[in-house]
Amino acid sequence: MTDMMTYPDVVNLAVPFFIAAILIELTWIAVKGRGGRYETRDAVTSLVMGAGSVASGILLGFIAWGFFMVLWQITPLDLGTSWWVVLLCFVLDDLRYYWVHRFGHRIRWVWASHVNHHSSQHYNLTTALRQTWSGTFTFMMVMRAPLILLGFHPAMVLFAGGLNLIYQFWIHTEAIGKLPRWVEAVMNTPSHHRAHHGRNPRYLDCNYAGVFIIWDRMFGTFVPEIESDKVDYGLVHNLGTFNPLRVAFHEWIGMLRDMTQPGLTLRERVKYAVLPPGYSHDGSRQTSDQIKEDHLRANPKDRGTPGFS
Amino acid sequence: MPLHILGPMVVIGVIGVAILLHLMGLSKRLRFDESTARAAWLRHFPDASVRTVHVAPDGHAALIHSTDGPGIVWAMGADSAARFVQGARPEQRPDRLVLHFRDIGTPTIRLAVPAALQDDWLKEIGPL
Repeated sequence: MTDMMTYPDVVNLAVPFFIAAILIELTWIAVKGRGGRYETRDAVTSLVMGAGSVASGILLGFIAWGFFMVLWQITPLDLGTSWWVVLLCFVLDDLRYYWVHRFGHRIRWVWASHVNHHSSQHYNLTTALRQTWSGTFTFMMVMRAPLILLGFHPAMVLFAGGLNLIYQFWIHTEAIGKLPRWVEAVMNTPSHHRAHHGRNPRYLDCNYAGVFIIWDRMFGTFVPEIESDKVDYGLVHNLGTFNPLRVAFHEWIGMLRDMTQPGLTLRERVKYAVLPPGYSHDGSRQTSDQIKEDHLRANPKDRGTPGFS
Repeated sequence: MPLHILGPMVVIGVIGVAILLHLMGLSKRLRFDESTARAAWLRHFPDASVRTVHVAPDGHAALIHSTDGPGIVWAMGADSAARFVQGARPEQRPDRLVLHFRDIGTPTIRLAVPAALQDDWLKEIGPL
């Protein structure tokens, strides 16, 4: 069994490309007068979040790596390093990403880590870099366990995850409209991912795909971007701070405050961690399902349209 | 990529983008009039209809009286944020009125309301 295997750290290698692409997008917007918006503090917060995410990976990455190597010692399977194995690993890892991302929106414990990625009211290439600092604490690393137990080397699995993240960078833009139909049918595109970042009731909890949008089509979470319902970016309740520390940890602290408030049963405390964001024991808040229902009461004509079926 | 290359590249990249955006005039804060403040509030709370709007003297915030209670809508860079003010702790400073919240995502709202107008604003806000 191969213990030592190395792949390039593609995310770190892509940093110069990220910076260059941001400058190109900014120039495009300035020249054309369309294709997105930039704002200084928002962009700086996103970039600092990106840098913090890389630092967090350097500091805490050993935890996931140690876990993966234990699994690698346990499994009797080793699929090797053929190109088709790498390709299969990439596709299966994208399926893994779909479910981690879906959990990230439907389980508050995981949302506490992912929320910062949605906390910008802008949608440009810097938004792509607004990444989590606390992913390790979601324990979503377990979602990679099946791949490693099936015989994909941990280094290959992380390499596939890195490529996935790089793919998702370019789709965070308003500068690209809709792509040819076959691309929109199979791949995650700027249009599909714009819908994912929408706070409009229609777009809540849709399009979790990383690279292949087919997972959303298969599992019933696909919602197309609709011209008549322009995407409004950000959170249902937008943040009142640009402070990266607050952006990174506000939901963790909010959740822990909810879980530890006096007078709750143990069941209610656990529900604050495992039910979707917006759950409250006294019904004082709204989940995305309730927001959609409220919207349909006020706009019954939307019932049955994408996002409301 | 070695850290001694990655680190400076990231720092220079962030600072460079920040300076560039600022020089391009993209640091301007959103300004409200009565109509845009109303629209911004409804964007955040579509179910809480607006009764009255008081725009702050600098135009960067507005006090909203809605059907669900008083709230503030304020500029977050080029965009806006809004929240109800129940539970806020007001602090009066010579040049501004500060509302403190027990909310890690919105710890404070700083309103450029001069001292002479602060009591009027607090009266408009009502009991917190």
